Amino acid sequence: MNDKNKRRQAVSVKAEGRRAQGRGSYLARDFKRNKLKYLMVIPILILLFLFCYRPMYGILIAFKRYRPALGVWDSPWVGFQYFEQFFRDPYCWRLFRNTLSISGLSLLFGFPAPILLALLLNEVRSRKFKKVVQTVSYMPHFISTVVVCGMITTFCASDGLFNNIIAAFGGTKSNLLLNKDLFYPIYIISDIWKGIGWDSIIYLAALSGIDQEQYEAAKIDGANRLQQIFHITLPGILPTVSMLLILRIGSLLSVGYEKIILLYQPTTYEVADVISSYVYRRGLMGGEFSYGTAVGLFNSIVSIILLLTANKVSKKMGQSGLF
Amino acid sequence: MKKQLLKTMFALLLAGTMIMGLAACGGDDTQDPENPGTEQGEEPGDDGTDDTAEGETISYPMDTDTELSYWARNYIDLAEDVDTWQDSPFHSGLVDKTGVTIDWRWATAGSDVGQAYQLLWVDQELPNMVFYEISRNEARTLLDDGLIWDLTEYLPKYAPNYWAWLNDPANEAERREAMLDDGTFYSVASVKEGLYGQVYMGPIIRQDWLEECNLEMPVTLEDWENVLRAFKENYNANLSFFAAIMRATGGIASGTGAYGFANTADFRVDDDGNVVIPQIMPEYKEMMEILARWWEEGLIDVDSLSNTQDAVRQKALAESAGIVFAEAGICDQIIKDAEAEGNGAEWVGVSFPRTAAGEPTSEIGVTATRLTGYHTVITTQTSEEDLITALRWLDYGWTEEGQMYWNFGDEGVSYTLDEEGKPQWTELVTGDPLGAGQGRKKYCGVTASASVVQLTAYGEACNSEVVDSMTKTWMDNTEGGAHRLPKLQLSEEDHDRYVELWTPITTYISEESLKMVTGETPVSNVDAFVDELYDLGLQEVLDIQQQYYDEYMLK
Repeated sequence: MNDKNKRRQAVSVKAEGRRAQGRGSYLARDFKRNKLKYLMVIPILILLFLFCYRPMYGILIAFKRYRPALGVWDSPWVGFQYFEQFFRDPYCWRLFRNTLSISGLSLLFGFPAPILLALLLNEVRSRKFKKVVQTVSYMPHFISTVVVCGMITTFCASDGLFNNIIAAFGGTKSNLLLNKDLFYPIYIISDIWKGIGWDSIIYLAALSGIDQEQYEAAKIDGANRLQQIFHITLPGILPTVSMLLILRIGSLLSVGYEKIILLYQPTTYEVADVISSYVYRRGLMGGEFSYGTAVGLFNSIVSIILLLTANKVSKKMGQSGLF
Repeated sequence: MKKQLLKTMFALLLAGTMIMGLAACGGDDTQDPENPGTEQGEEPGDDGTDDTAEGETISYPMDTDTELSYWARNYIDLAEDVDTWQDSPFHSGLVDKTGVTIDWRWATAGSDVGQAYQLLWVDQELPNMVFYEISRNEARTLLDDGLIWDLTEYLPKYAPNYWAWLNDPANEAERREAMLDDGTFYSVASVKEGLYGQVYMGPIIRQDWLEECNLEMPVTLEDWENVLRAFKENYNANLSFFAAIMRATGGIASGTGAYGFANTADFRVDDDGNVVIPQIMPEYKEMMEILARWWEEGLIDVDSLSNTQDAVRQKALAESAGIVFAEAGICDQIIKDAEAEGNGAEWVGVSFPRTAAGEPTSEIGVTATRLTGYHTVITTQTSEEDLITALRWLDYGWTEEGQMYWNFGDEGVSYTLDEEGKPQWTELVTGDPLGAGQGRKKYCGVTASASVVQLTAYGEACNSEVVDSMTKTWMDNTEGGAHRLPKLQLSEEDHDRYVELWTPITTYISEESLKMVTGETPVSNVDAFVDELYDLGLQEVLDIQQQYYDEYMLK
């Protein structure tokens, strides 16, 4: 990491020098030197353009009454009508609150979980044991959400696994999914179970980049295991952690609707109904493209603001930001 | 690093607005330069095509080499082991009978059919005919945008059999629903002949337990409660059903004289012609009291809200359910499960509860009219000449001969008539290696819905004896869909206003009503609950619906 930083600095110093000669000539020279590399970038650029930039003008339909037959350009303008509708909705505030609660709690409990797993795995001596744990913990990632939710529903039913355990300890059986106090724990724990192994891969990769000599030096200085973790391992993966944290904060408002819709019940709407599931239910009343786009656009704008803020805060605190 | 930010931003934007991708596709389509649906429609048949006089029937097969494309949702489709329509006896036989070759198109298996349908209209190349659930509201838009033909002038001439059916006084309600408010016809509709074909779900009960407990078949809600209590006491079994919409409550409502579900906001028309929702009817409170009491006493399976079909089957098999509300197919499975298990369980159909013996039941989950809601429309990318061929082709299904072919295939091949003149499937269908269901797909076109009449005889021939007797019990002395509000055609502004107000109302109802059932809030809250509905703008919604309903009834 340190080596890389040095190199990067060296490059940027050189670049600074070139910049004095003018950006254009630098680019031209760089292009001549790395023709093939530029060529290799082209397909990606085309892909990015086709699938990321080109569809963006579709945002227009948030301000129009979209009619498929007329197309995006010719649909009539309605201004902010769909945004106003969303904010006028009596459930607007609740949807916000639930969306933020679910993603906030996921962040609080779900984000540190893979880091912990990675740290624990890093301390394991037996390679075989480490491999087995890794493989086993990845597995749930490959199970489809629908299947996971089916399992949860079965386990939470009044004659399901969890209730049998509760009954064995003298509790009374009930359907756990109908209880609104249990919705967040069920949602978040199952999320962690599904994602912990997969998400820890990136941290394990970062861990393997830490210079082993630092550990040796620490051992000679008499640092114990815990001190090594706190003073070498954690600082070593901190840039990765902060970057992923920023990204995660950027998506605070986008709670996927699939899992919610598969798990919630009208009795748990109060805590479980999020923006995307509400828009989904409304969409059922007939292809409400414009309304869905308006809410999605608003979501995205708030997300970008959150992302930029998180990035700034991270930089202020001396950590590397995204840009 | 900058690119990374850009990427992230776009990823977020895209994730947040899944619908934008769709919007983008919409951008490509070039506009139809003309609007033949409404303009040319003024004077049809004046350019050399009027050789057929009004109502004159033509003989099939037609002498034509026209090929028409037909997007039929995922209905009228091929059996699983048939690859092309040429290999499908029904589809290839239809070409021989009508003389018209159809280029069949279906939504890709496993894809989202609704989305496929929406995208269809965005495409530059439309099929000649489209079969889908097309509301009158949507038809109005499609006509205005010049995407489909106005068939008002064409139907009497080129689809005389369908036209005759529509104008039969017995089909007055259906004609009204098939027509836009200004008298425009836009489609060839799809029909189920009678109640029998529409009834698809109801309750079944453990008759052997009833006998053991010396109880009669329950009629009123009081009887039901007694039976459920006895089942609970003697067998620790209860009333079980599935699906988040508590469909079963429609049946329970029937026993109080109310109509509609406890937790779903559905429009109904009361005896005085007022548009209402069940929640504001006086009987609603009584229904909620009963449901809450049953829930508290454990007479209702507490998993009913999250149950799947399989879970209900399991519960029935494990003898923890004494009454089950389910689709006829599931009920049939439950009966077969019990037979295979050999536990002596005897499930039989039981009628929905009534307010008193002899009174009709109000709810069997049927539509307002016998129209299924599905329609075949003809797109404006079809020339007038092809339009006429298309209508004649569609009309074949409404001739006596065509009706039998669509419902049963060829006599002597896929069906024979028994002594009573009722069609019965032959071994070719019932003995199909993939089961009778797939066998029917090979020889008939009405397995789901089609732009023809699905005959009652078709349902009777398909149902096993058990399902047949269940269905007949469920439809015994019922008002059927008499209190349902027909699908109305709202203006754009009114539709917008209605959707805006209606979404929070439905959310509130499904949430609060279930809280009352599960005892989280007391049932005495019903009055406050109804007040809140009016605060959310219920009156305006009802007024909108009422206004259009009144106009509709005057048509």
